[in-house]
Amino acid sequence: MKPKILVLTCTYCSYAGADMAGVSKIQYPPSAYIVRLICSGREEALFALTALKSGFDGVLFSGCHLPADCHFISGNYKARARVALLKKLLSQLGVEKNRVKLEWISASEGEKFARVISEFTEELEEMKPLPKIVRIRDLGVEEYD
Amino acid sequence: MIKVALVGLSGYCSGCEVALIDLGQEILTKVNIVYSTLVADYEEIPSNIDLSLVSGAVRTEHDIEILKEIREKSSKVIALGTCASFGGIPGLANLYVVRDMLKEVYGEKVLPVEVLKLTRAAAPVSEYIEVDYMIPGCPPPYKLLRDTLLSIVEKNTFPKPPFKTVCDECPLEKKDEFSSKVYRLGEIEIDPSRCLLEQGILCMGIATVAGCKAHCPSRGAPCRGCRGPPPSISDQGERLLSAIASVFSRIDPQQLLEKIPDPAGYFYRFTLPSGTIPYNVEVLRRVKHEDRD
Repeated sequence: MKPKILVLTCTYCSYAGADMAGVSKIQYPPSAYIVRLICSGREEALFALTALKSGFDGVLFSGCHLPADCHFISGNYKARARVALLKKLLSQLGVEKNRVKLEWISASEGEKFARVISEFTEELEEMKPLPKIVRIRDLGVEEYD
Repeated sequence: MIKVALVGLSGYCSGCEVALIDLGQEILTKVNIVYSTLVADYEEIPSNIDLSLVSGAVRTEHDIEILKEIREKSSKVIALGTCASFGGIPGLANLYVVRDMLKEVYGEKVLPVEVLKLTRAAAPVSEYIEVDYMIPGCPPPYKLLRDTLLSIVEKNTFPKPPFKTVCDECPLEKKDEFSSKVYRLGEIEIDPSRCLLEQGILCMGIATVAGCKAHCPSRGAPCRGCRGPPPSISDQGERLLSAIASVFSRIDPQQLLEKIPDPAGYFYRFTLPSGTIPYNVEVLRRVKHEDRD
C-alpha cells in the first residue's frame, strides 16, 4: 500500500510550489495530501501528532526559504523550531523521527516539490508501518510467563 | 452528613489526601468518611456513597476493579489531583515499555509476578469510568480545593472550573521583549518582577489552567504546568511545545535542543497519558510481537 503523507503548505510559497508542479505537469506519487495553511507559522505539532495517530505515515512541513522569504516575516523560523522539538518528542514516543520532514519550497520550485514528495514516499515505504495507536484501556494488562 | 470515600489508586503519592487534611476542620467535620485507603482502615467499599474522591493514576488491574466498584456504589465521582485527572507524574512511565521498566528497577530476577498486574500504560481515571468533576493540581491549591469542596458538600453544586491560564493570573510584568537565549534555572540571575518566559526561563504557565493565582511564577519559580490544560485544550504538551518553539524560534534548532534535551519530560510532565500519542508506540509493537508467537 502506498504511504499517506500529510503535506502542510504555506499559501505564498509552498502551496504555490505545489501548484507549479501541477501546472508544469511534473509526475509525483499520489501519496501527498496537501493542506494549505496561511503560513508555516501555523504548522503546529498537533497536526503532525493527530495525523500520525489517525493513519498517516508521514508529515511534511514546508514553508518559504530562510532567512527572509516568509510573507509574515518569521513563520518559517517557528516551523523550524517546532519540527526540531517535534522530532525529538517523536523519538521519545517510539515513533521514527524521519516520519516528519521539513523542507523549504518556494513558489517557483515545482520540480523540488515533486522531488521531495517522491523521495519522502520512498523513505516511508522502506520503514515498517506505524502500528495503529489504540486507547490506553484497550492495551490491556501486561502478562507474565 | 454526606458519605465520602477517599480512594487512592496505585499511581499516587498520597499528597492529595494530605492536602485534604491540610484543609483542617472546615471540610472534615462536615463529612462522614466511610472508606479510605490512607487515613483509616476499611476492608470493603460500602454502598450508597455520596461522594468519591479518587486520586492517583490507574496503573494496575486491581485499580480498574476498584474504580468500577466505586463508580457503581457512589453517586458522584471526583478526580482529585493531576494524576487522577490527566495522568500526572506516574504517567511519564508511559515513555517506557512495562517489562523494560521493571527490569531497570528490580533487576532481571525479581519481577512482581504474583503481586501486581500492571496495565501496559498508566492512565487518568476518565479512561475507565465516567468522572463528574476534576480538581487538578499537584496538589490542588488550598483555596480552590476548599471552595470547591465546600460548594459540593454544602450546596450540592459543582462550581464552574477556571478556564483561563496561569499567565492571566500572573502578576509579573510583561514587556513583549523576549530573550534571545534559553536558560536553565540558576544559569542567570532572574528579575523577580518580570515575566520569566521573557527572560528565557521555560515557564509552562501559557498552557496551564488558572486557579493557583500563579503561585510559583510570582515567587520566582517557573510554572511546571501541574494543573494541566485549560478546558479548551486537549493536549497540553503539544500546545506548550508549539508555543515555546515559536517564542524561541530565532535560536538555532541545535542549540534549542541542547537546552531542551527532553521535550516529553518538559512539556508532558503532568499530562502524557492524556496527550495525542499517550504512550511509547514501542508498547504496541511488543504486544503484536507477543501475539504472533
